[in-house]
Amino acid sequence: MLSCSKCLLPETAEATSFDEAGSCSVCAQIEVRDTQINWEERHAQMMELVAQYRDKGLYDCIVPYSGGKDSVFQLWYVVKKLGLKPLVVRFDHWFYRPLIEENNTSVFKQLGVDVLNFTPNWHVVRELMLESLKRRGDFCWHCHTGIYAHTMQIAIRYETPLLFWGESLAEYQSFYSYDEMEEVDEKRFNRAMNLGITADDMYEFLGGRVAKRDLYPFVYPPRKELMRIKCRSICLGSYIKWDTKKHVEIIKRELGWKGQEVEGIPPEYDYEKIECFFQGVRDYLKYIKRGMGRTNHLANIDIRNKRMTREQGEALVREFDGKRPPSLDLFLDYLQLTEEQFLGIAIKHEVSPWQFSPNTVEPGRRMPDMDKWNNTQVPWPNHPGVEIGGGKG
Amino acid sequence: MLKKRLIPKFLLRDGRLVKYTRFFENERAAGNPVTTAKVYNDYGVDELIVLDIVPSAASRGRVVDIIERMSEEIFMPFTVGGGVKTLDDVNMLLRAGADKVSVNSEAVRRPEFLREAARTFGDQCMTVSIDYKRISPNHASVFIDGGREHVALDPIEWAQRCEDLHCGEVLLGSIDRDGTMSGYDLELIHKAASVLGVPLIVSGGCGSLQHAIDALEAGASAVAISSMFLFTDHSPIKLRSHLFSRGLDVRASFSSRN
Amino acid sequence: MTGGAETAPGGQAMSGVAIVDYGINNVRSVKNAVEYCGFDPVVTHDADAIADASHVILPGVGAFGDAMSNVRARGIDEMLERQVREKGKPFLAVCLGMQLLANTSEEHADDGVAHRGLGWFDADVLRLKPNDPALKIPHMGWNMVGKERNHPILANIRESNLAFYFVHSFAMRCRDAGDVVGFAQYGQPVTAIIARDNIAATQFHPEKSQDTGIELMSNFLRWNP
Repeated sequence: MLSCSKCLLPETAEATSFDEAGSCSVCAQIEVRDTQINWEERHAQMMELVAQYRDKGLYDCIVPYSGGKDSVFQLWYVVKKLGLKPLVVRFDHWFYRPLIEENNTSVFKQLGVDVLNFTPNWHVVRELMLESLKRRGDFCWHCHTGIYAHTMQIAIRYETPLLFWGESLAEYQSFYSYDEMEEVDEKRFNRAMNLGITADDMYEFLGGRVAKRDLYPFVYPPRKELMRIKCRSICLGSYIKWDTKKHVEIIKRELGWKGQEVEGIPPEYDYEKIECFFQGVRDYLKYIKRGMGRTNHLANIDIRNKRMTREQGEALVREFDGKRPPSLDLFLDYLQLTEEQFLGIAIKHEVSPWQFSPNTVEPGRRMPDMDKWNNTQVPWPNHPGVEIGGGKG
Repeated sequence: MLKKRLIPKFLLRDGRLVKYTRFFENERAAGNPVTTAKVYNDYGVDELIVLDIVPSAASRGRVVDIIERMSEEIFMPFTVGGGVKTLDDVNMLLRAGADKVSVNSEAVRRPEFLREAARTFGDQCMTVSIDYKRISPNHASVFIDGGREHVALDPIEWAQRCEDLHCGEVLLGSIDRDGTMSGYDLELIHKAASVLGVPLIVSGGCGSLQHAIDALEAGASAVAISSMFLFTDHSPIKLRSHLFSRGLDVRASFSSRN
Repeated sequence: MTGGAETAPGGQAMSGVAIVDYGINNVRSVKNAVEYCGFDPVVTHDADAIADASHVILPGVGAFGDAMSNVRARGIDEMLERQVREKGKPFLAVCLGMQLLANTSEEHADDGVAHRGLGWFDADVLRLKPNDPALKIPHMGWNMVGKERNHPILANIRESNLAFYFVHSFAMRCRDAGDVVGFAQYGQPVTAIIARDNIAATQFHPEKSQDTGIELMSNFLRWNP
């Protein structure tokens, strides 16, 4: 399997390509970010845009919020640097770790913001997790579609057309490049967020187990509706130069934001993906399918930002990637699957030329707060099994 | 020069997408045709083929509605077929938004229909769809009526005849390999591509990125793919960037923007 | 992308985009594409509606001879002369629409006498004759367009993304090289984009060319030369 000659990204990554020198398109994009973008100009463009939306309604903008490092930074930036009044919109995926709630309480109190939280029906979410796992080897469909689609629905309901998302996709992947200034719109939703599955598709896949109206939170609103409110759904990372480590320093200092350890990555990355207790399972699946775990991703960021050499990155990846996360036990319990079934599904989604070897997997470290991760038992009499079904007869 | 094309194939049953193995086994729900078409459009596929596999007077209306809705936000060519028997059928689909219409069984029953339709609407609007099975290792034979009725016709000879009747394109599908993800029928593809003057789209068996490369290198102008996109992580985005980086003459992938 | 009515230099609001209807099939895709870009098109051959429009699009699929007969019978030639050539409205012609701007076309020419076009460009429409017998007619599929020069309708489109969908058997040959914005290659150079003053035309179908085509249409709809 080929990897980038500069960072460690493998050829199995989704939209990426390598040039003649063997270096990847994401490295090229970061080069553009650092040398070819006039960030002052971009900042000025953002100020012009913001002026058009300031003080026009109940809220100046929406900030989609998870409580992770990026959304906390975005919120801080919008309130403190742009002086805007946001509506904070949170989508509850059911897997928040206890520290997040503490962090959020502290952040919201300090910044002084209105917060809307939406929690979708667990019975529905469970079905969605299993179906998307079966069809895509990825159980996070409800989370991605919920965050993106539902937040757009809120924008329409509250007539708040300006939305501030986080980094540009060009920071980590090649669906877009830095000079494109992508809108966080339905095209991006389809390309990079919803695994190619819409709520309408899910309805068909679930074969009547979930009513159509129960899937409404996951439906991306019609383009005409968004055009009517003159929606601008932008990435903050298109207008300011993104620097994750610097942002983390800021939120720790300004807001007392706390990090914590995450499964499967070096403990010094205590700011990365701390908000989801199934992050380890998610990363494990990506490792099974594409041969890259989260340490690979984090090392790449540091390599591209010249904080680490490729050799140092390789050593970290060897040490941390590809271990079996203890959260997998909880996950299997949630979805009532055996580990054999789980691996069988995941391996079907391998991306060539990577091949996973289950026999070489070691166990990973258990997280200290794992006992606090909810495990309310909910019977599942109509469990659909692991075969992909025929839908409505 | 003209690019090689990557084409998802949609099978409609009662207005929903479905997928089988070998045409009849293992039915699986495959989603909503309009939203799935939008997703593929955003992925940047080259075209879409939409076939109504249980055609009737009632289903024609549903197909027209689906094509009209697709046309609202999707801007790439569509080929639509399934039960097309008359010039009116062709006209209805073209007016709904189809760029090309696929004929299958009716062309076998009444070859003159194909010639008439090509003359009325233009060769470029008529795609002939040919499904076949290998009856024995060296003998392939055409099947019509959704793979139910065996016709003693060699698929390549029949394809050549359709070219003489002025079809614009041939869609050649292996029933044996359909849904198996075991690879295209390269031998037949190579033979067909070497005798046909019109573009050849091949269908049936794509399960990996390499399969698509093999089919295009065997002479196909385009690959039609169903199962691989529906049930694996080899998405159209992955396929295109893989083919592009391996030097095949396909449209550039997103990351070539850099 | 948000859209809305553009204003004319005098400050009066123009009512939008006119897609000229001259009885040929399927303006649906062009209309949908214009709406997708945020504008509100009318499909019309009415002189007043075209006079009211800020931008005019001439689509086209089919035979040159029939198309020109329709265009003349409906007085569209005069309308376009007035609104586009005299009044200078931004104008986009697509596929057969582009070919109609030529002096002549040899498509289905009776007794070797070519059909006459609008003559807005010093050009003739000739049958495609690729120098490779393996290349079939029509030229149908996605092909790259090489830029001869820049043009506002190609703004913000990377050269590596200049792939468009073509379906045609005849192509325009311009006597004035300055009229050509881009060529495709198909065993011969194929004139893909022409432009002069407020007039632009494409041989390919932008409304079938996905993101790149929509970007081109959007650029055209925001073009105020």
